[in-house]
Amino acid sequence: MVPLYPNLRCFPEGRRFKQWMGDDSKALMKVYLPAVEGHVPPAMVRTLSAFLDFCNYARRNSLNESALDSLQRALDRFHHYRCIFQETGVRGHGPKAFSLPRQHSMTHYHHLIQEFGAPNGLCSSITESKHIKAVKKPWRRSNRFQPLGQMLIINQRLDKLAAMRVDFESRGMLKGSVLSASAQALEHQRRQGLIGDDPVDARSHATQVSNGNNNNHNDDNAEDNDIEHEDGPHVLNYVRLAKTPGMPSILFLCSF
Amino acid sequence: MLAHHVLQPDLPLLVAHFLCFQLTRDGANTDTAAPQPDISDLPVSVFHSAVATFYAPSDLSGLGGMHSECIRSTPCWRKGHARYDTVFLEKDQNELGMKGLHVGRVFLFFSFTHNGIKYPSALIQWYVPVSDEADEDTGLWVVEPEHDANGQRRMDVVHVHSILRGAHLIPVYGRDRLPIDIQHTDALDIFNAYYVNKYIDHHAFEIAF
Repeated sequence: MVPLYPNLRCFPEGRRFKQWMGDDSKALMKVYLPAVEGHVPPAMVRTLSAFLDFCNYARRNSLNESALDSLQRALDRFHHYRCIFQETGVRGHGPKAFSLPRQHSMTHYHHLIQEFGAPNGLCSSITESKHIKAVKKPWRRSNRFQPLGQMLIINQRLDKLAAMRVDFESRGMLKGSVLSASAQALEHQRRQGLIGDDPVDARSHATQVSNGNNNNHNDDNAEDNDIEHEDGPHVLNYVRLAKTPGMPSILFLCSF
Repeated sequence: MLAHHVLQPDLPLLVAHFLCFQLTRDGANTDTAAPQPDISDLPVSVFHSAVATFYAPSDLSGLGGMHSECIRSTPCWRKGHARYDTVFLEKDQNELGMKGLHVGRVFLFFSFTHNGIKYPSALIQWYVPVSDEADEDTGLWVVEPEHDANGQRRMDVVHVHSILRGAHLIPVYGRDRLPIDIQHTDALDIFNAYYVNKYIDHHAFEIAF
């Protein structure tokens, strides 16, 4: 029973939710604390209060020094008071008591905000942010008949493609284009003297053609450009490949 | 007539006080003891809502981080119960957080013109903090309705410009089971104390700590 206010959310189901989403959590966080106050030990209320404070500070669109200090203090309070969950037996004892990845990641916020700026509502949950790529898109790709296996294979193949891409990159295979690669190969062969005097390498051939025949002028330019610009790939589907989930991005999100 | 309509018999007196305060504050006649302005036949317009616009970049907001919300004060909300929203009012701009804010409940938005100046104003019922600090456990401020010497709820008329934005109050429920027949629309009338809910959105968290 809460007074009306914009952006408040009703929970008509009450319990046994079919689906619980991030928005539901956010809506519940708005009214949770006064609802449980008095029904659980005070230390638990303080833990929740510290946690909510932390979330709200971290959600700001800009943080100054004092806000960062408050964030750190909220975190310290959270760590201090959450022992009540061990004392009441909710969590076990020992090193694995609070071995929760997302609670651990809270300790990195202070440093990482200083390094990279305010998260501004970034979702730290890997399952949330990767849900579309890992579940929705593969499902759309499947033919809806026993989709789980198809989705797993699709994900597996995408991962393999991404891994292959990283491998190719480390070998330097993605630099330049086919033409530049063949030009390099010809150059290599010419230096080794494997080719006789009669055949000419690509570069001198191109110059000859451009001198003698104006019609081939464009080809010659294109080839020259390809040879000189070796710093970036020129293959058209490069962009698509880069959009597949790459290992570096996953690692980065995990470390938050 | 309006006083009878909204069941607030003190309304003319409060309006007179408000007008008196506004006139002396404007410096028009600070020296002379201001005579009580005559408001007996003043035409008054009544409004059932007001829109507060404020800078809240942390929330989902419009252009440039501006956010607007509607404050309702209506005897019939969606053909049902009355709805009178609570608001933050500016108290002291030099103080941070809740120490620089009042909390009040708007019972009437109205405007009138006196000597060619339009006064948009609001009839407010006050809430006062229980202590000088926020509650230790929850970190939320606790307020209670303010009563005068006769045990009546204290009301005032204020200028609309002193209203900051809407506030959300949550009752301090206590440990007892609530009666089953109370409605959420009565929540602001029947409890003795209320939490000022700073977690309602991120802007409230920035101003009401």
